[in-house]
Parts: sequence; C-alpha cells; structure tokens
Amino acid sequence: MQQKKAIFYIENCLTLNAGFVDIEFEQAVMNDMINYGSTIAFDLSRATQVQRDAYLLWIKQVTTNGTSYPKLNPNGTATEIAAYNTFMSSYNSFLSAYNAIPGNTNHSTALNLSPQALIKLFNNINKNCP
Amino acid sequence: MKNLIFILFAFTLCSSCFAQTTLKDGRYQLDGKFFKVTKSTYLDKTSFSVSVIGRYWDKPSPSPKNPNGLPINKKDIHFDIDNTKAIVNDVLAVNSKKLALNKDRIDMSFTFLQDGSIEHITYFFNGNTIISLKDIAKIDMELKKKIKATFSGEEYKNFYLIPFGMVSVIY
Repeated sequence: MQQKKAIFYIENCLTLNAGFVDIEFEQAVMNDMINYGSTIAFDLSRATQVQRDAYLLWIKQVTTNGTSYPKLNPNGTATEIAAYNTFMSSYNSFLSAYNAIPGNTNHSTALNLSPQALIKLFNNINKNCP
Repeated sequence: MKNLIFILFAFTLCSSCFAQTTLKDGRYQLDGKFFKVTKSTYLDKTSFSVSVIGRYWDKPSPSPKNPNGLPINKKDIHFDIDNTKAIVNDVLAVNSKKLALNKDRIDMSFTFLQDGSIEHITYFFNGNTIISLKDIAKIDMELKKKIKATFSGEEYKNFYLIPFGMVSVIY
C-alpha cells in the first residue's frame, strides 16, 4: 500500500512538475531579500515592468528598505499571525504571477509547497549577521 | 500687525502648496512622459513607487537569449553611483533640510540597455514623502541624460534588459 502511494506520488510529481516552481521562486525571493534591489525572480523571465515594480515594492516593505528580514510565526500572537498571513498572501500572489509568466522555464502545473526554508532562514538570521 | 498677517497668510499659502505636491496614487502626464504612482500599504506601513510608463510597462520584456543562463553579477555593471546621488541631491537641494527633517529617502532601481543607456528607473518612497512628482520627473530626465553604464564579464550579453538593483539616497 505504501509502495503504491509512493509510486502515485512520484508519478504525480513527474506529470505535473509539482513543486518545481515553488522551490525556484523561494530561492529567488531569498536572494532578493538578501540583496536589496535585486529582482532575480523576474530577471530571467519575460516579466512586465508592472510585475517587477510591484515585486520590488513588496520586497522593500517586507525588508523595511533592505534593513531587516521578516520574522514570521504562524502560531504566535494575534499580531504575529496577521503578519504571517499578510506575508503568505503576498508571497502566493507573486508566486502565481511568476508561474504564469510566458515562457518561464520554471513553470509548474501545480503550486503546492509553502516557503518553509525561507521562513526558517529569516527567522534565524539578522540583516547585520557577519 | 499688517505685516504679521501677511507673513502668516504667505506661510499658510506656501504650506498648502507644498502639501499638494506630495504623491498620490494615479497616472500623470509631465514633460511629455506618463508617470504611474502606486501607493501600497503593508502591515500599516505605506510606500510609493513611481515609474515612467515605458515600452515594457505591461508587455512582456524580451527574453534572455538563454533562459537558463546565469544572472548578471552586480560587480559587472559599472556606473558613477556618487554622481547619480549628486544629481538627485542637486534637484532636491532647495528642500534638503525639510527632507532631512522628514527622514525622507529615495530608492532607485535601474535597468540598462546593452549600450549602457538607461532604459528605466523605478523610484520608491516612504509613505510620508514630501518629494513631488515634478522633482521626480526632473531627476528622471537628468539621470537619463547624464548616467551611462559599462559592463564587464560575459553574463550581461545574455540580456536585452540589464537590471542593476537599488541606489538609495537617504536624507
């Protein structure tokens, strides 16, 4: 039974290319938050200026002009939960926009991974870390 | 007394004129260019972005020759950043004290073409900025006239549009 489930999961991944775009986008956002002003998420694709501007404005806000990293806690206080939900809502919206860019070689037919690596990384480092 | 009333009147008039020049969401025409001002609030903090509506505003930008190529390293893009900041400061020199009091800042994201000319600059501001669209239009004109980039390495050859990243002027 477990073996059947595993085969189904692998087939599903191979057919839908599931999760591929999530990982590519997540690492690009990590880079763009660390290197303030970078828009690597949209540089290798045919993004419009509107998309780049909106993305960069979001990065500016999330990182407070490139001076800090977001601290995200889905199980914290009401304020922390609200901050987490706001971040995830924006993140998923940009992920969908990125996935839909024509000719994006990282396109996937399914978006199903949350950016856990990004959240763990930025929760545990500060902007001024050596 | 008359003088005092006149001074107070002049001050009120000036401050209201100044307030009118702050940014508002929308599309504006200035010096033959169309500008888009976008207001955005994230976790109670408001910011603005200002862009000249260019040829790739809402059309896909040209693809890199190799979509799986390497991104451009920032150190391979060369232009006079000090001069860039000086141009901005010159345009805003009259208001520099007010800008400092307001803790204003401009973040500029540059995109170059292969010949080193500026294709596009997006400007970002704090929500309480006192910088006017007229000043931004002048900064945009001066920068596009005076700033040119050169490139090293190989990666830039893959791109039609060459993004540099951010230059910040903080008051």
